[in-house]
Amino acid sequence: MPGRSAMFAWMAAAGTFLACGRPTGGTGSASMGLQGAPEAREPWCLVLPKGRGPGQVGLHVPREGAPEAPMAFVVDGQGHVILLDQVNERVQLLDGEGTLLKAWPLPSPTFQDLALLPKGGMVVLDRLAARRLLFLDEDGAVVSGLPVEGPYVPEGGGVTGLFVTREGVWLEVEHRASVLVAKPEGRPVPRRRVFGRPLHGRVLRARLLADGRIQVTLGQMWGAAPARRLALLPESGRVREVVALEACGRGRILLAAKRPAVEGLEELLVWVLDLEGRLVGRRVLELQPTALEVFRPLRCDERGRVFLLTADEEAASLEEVWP
Amino acid sequence: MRPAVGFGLSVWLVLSRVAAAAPPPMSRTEILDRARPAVGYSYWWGHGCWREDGQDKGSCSGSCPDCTHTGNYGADCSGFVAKVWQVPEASDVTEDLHPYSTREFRYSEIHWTRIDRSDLQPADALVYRNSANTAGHIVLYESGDPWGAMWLYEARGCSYGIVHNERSLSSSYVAIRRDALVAEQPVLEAELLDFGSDATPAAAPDVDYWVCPDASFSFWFEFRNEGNTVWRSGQSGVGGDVWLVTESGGTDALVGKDRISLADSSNPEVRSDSTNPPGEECNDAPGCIRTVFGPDALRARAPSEPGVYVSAWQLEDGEAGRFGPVVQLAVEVRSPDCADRECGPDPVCGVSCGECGAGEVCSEAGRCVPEACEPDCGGRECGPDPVCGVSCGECGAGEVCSEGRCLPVSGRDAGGQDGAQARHPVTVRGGCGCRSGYGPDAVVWTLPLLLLLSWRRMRRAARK
Repeated sequence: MPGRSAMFAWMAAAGTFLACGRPTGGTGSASMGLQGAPEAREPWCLVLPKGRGPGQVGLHVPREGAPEAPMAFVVDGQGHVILLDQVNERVQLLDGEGTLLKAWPLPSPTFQDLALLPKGGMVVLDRLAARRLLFLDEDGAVVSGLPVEGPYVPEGGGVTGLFVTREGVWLEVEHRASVLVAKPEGRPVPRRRVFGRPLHGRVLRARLLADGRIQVTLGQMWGAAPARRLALLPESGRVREVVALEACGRGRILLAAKRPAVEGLEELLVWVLDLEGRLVGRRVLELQPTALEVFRPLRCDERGRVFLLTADEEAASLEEVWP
Repeated sequence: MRPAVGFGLSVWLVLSRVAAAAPPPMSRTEILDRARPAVGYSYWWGHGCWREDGQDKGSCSGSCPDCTHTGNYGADCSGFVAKVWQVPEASDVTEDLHPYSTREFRYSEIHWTRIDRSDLQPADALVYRNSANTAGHIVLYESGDPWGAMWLYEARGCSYGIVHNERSLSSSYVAIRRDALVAEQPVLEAELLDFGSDATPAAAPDVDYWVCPDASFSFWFEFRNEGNTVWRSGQSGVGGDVWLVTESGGTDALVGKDRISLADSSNPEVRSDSTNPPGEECNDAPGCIRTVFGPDALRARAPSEPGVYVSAWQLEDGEAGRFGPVVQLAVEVRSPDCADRECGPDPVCGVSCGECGAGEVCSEAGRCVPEACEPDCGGRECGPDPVCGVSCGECGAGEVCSEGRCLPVSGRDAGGQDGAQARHPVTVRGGCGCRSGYGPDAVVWTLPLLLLLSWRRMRRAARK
């Protein structure tokens, strides 16, 4: 386990939300902007309090039901945050300070993932209720829709992620296979499946081995001719669950896993690799478990930075965890 | 009736039943079978009922408890689990009951017991209450990693209703197990996790790979044990003798076999989630819950005839028969692509596109061209040979070549065409004098030579 200085912790206690190592009081103001930040800086973070107003987020804790927080987010090339605030039936565009720049309404509160499209606009995923994908233009108008279920996706509840690559729009199924369902503009295509995560015409895979380590391989996209092993992580100790495998900008790969920690805490291990599998960076984060569901808590951006979205009953916290 | 009142009233109404009741013996499969038809029914706060036929699902709007429900069926999370668990006692799924809230499920052990989450098995439940003990949620576990991605049944909330989905739950959730569970009937089930081949991936949607006629290649299928019974080889009982067999029962056209033993897979003892040490899901070592058939056991040879060949397989147990999905690999045996080639190997498979005739050779472009010339100088000591036009030699200083003979230069000839020939010797390139004869150098010396020969013939004729 690394020293405390290498650790990034936040805890919810007595109504005070600690983010980036300092109390923010849940005011919704960011501790530091995303753009123009110096290299030697504290990690960027944004605390978004519960509410329906600009820069606030829906946090739903029913008396007898599933508690949920914003399910997903993206940080774009300009450092803006596109946040799926589905409880409030909207997508928010926030600047690095948490100021609302724009909001797109959603037709229901049941969307769980989103991804930006290469020519503008976005696609949002409702895997459980309507079981459909909606393509929205830059003004938030629905351009087209697509059923989630079909070949290789027998049940919407088995979809575990939404990805967009140059090949098109992919649905991840059971964290294992990726199914190409549409062109980037939303036109459906004959569905094709690869086992792993599409990456620049190839396929990334992460497998939890019997000894608790994770093997990362890179293979051909169509078919499974022998894949090349990129990395075997972690160097020591065993993990419990692989929670993220993403292709980032600047030729980076994000891999994250959880393992139990002391006193009910969870440890989140984050690795950043290059396309040759060389370790570029590693972080160990301690998490205070919370029952509020976030569907895609980890994302990386075009600049290779890694962000984490968490929430408790008072606020959601979006934090830069790498570099 | 306001929902909040309905919730309190239904709890009160069942109290007397709860006190003296006992849940019926149930297997894990029976519990999951009871949950399945509930998917799609509406979230109904403070209630618990649905129908087996999927009719009258109802709807919910708003944010509970300030929500509005329409219809006669639906459930909230605790009503849903109580109904599928049949606690405190047996009741028809259509009978609306809501005996417990998440508070009881989390903090009491009435007809259930707290267990270690690592011991979670199908039809157990996971429950949480918030720190203020004012809200909670409970789900029915079906399969997957208890600490990772799991398949669950749950009455999520007003917007979703009752759903079946894969997701993970934080460690805020604790595991509980219903009392009076009875032993399961052995169930064999499998899922295809992955497949692949060392053949060339195909771009066509209905074909996985392509190969050339008669090519050797191999492929593999990876399965996960989704049942509740260990797969073994050469033993008796359900799951005791598992094979991968062809779907047709006949010999596979690619592999030349009709069955492959589990003993020849990567894991000769494939456990299931329910028989595996908790949290120990691993790949394909003995005792793991996955195994790979091939590539060694699935070595294939492509047929000679082009076409698409489908190699289809299914698992089979000696006692229980076939189980799991039919898995298949579509392989296209491609025709050699000769395009406009008439000879030599095709660029796809290396198969011959044809043979050239006598006196011809095959060029790199796959065309038949005349065979290289063999110069025949005969008794000539200089000038071009009459077959290929290759030089038979050069004359010395003060000599000129005349009909293959070197002759002294006459005064008139000294600055004539033969002198020009000497300054432009024949060039033989690449060992093929014939082809070089068509080049620009050949034109340079051939034209003066012809003029010289014509001039000499005219002079001889004039002498005669």
